[in-house]
Amino acid sequence: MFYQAGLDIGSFMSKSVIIEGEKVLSYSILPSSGKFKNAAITVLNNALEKANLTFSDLKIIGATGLGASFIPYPYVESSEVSCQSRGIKFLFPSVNIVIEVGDQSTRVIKVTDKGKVADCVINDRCAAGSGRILQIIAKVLRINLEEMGALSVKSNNPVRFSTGCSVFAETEAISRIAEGARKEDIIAGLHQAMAIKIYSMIQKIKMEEVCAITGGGAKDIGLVKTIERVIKKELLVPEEPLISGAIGAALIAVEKSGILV
Amino acid sequence: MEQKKKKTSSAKTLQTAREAGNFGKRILASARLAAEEGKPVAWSMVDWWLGGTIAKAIGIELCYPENYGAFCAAVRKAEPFLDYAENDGVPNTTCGYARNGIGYTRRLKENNFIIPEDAPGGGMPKPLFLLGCGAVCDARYKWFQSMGRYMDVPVWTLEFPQTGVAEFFMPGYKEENIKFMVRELRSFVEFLEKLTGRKMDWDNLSERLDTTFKTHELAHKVDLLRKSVPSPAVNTDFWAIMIPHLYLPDDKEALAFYQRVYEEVKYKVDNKIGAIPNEKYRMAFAELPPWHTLGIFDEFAAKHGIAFAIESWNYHAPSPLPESEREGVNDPLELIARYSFHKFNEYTPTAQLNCMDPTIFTAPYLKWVEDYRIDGLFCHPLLSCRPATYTLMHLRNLLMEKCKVPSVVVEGDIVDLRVFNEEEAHVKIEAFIETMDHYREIRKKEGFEW
Repeated sequence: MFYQAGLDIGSFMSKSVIIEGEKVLSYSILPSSGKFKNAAITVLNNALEKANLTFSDLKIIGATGLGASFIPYPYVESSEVSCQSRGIKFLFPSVNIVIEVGDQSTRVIKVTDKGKVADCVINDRCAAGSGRILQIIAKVLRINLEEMGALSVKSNNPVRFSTGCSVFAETEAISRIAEGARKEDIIAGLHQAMAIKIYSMIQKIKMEEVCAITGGGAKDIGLVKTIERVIKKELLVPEEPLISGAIGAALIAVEKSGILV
Repeated sequence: MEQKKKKTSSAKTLQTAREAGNFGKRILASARLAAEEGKPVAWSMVDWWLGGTIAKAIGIELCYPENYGAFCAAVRKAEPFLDYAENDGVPNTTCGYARNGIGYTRRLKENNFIIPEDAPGGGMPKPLFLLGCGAVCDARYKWFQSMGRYMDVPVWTLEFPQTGVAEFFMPGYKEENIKFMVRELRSFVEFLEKLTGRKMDWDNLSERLDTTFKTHELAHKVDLLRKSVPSPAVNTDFWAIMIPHLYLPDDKEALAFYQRVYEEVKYKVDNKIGAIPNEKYRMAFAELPPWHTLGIFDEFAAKHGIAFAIESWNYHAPSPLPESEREGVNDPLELIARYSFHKFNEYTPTAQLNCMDPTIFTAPYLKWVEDYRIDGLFCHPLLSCRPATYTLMHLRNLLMEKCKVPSVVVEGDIVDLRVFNEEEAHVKIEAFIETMDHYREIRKKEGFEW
């Protein structure tokens, strides 16, 4: 049996997958909590345990993410963009474009038939387009991140965010609360602003037929629906959007090592 | 654990490139010495119209605020000058060189024109006048005018015509332009004579021109050698060796230096020695470099095998002026006009062939990607520079449409370190590797030669 592991040690969450052939046997997700080494060890052990395997069963480990360099095992490192590209192609073979809304950045990647990166636009200077802004506003509104999507879809009067900056957006959100705006409308307004930003990124690499969304932002149904409305296209959403990068890391590790599976 | 200190400057691959920085130091030292001896000193812009050569022929020593800006950035000492200019109301979207120059000038003035002790590289002495020019950039007018006001010294702006591709092919266009340029240069000579009380030394000017042509010809030959695979020299080498050909092309030492550069590069080509050990990808760089972080290109080379085979059109010496242009021209000013016209228009036929405008900052790259077998373009848009930025999107589209060459965009600034995100650059380049692979396959399928 050829068991491969993929680790995506992100700034916010750490993710691991165990793959055998074309099948994801197990996965694990937990907060990185600023302790990347501990997170990497624990998240890999959890996934191994779920798959009833031990570390010695693994033939190769692929890794990506901001905290990858803290992984204490030998691994093959790949870029986050390549991993998302390969991972999403594994999950949705027909996909041409993937939108990844992560904690630190949002990326729009054009994917080749083989799951490689044909083009990509990255918004990592400004938190306003990334998952970080969702966390900031959730804190302002004193709700859990997971509640945002459901609240957003209930809105019938989204507030208009006049700024593209997350710091100013926080101030704006506080002002809207003071004015009595509903939480639903504030969140929907935020989603609208993010969707417009993402749409402009997609336009830079030109729209394609099949689009998917992944990363933490893909778990927010309100954001997904708003992007769909703005780009006038249905989005494919993985069952577990957080693990697409880890899947890609595992697949690329095998490619790079030249091992025949 | 002890953290290894990250190197911000480039190690450079050519021995001659490592020595080129001495020319920059010499420019500053010569200007200070001249000032001490009571000789005339001026601050000049990059010498595209050879106005600096004319000034030198009359006995004026020059130093260059643009070069000084790049130097301050490279040693990471530009920020105090940028802040000082911004504190005086200069917007932070103004050219990085300009802000550095204005900040320095403000400090110089406030120090009663005694060079501040902590001035990087020893600093620039107060000039007798400022020599500006409108080539490629609009901030240049106002920047030099502003410094002129701070110091209460005259500013001369050399203004030459730059028109579109269609106009270039209009009958009589070239000769009319040459006539205009000669008139402008003659007025400049009159200005210098009046200002300094000296007479132009025309023989000295002709001799300097002759040396300039020879230096530039060698610089151009080095560019041609760089078409070789593997690339014998890379962008960080070029940005060092360009100092003598941009600022001192009329200097005998610069000519001798360029002979050595040529020999070093030729040796590497003949022996198939690449600038980087494992060249996998050949990239072009557009347009102005992040002077504060040139070491990042060494990291790209080590990590991904990227050789930047060609870069920055505006810094390159033009191809030699055809003999037909030189025949029967005895007036050195006309020769300068013809040469400058040649520099700014030599890629116009390429632009016409591709039905595009403008020529500068775009057309050269269309030729280069094929000649230098380029896999990808690194675009460095600057928030503070419209001329070197607004063409980039156009250029990216053209390269993709006509040559299937992809590009990656990393924003930054020539001088201002505060707007450059090194990590972002690494992330984008990592992702771009696969994109270059992808388009290599596409070019192969579509019958491109590289």
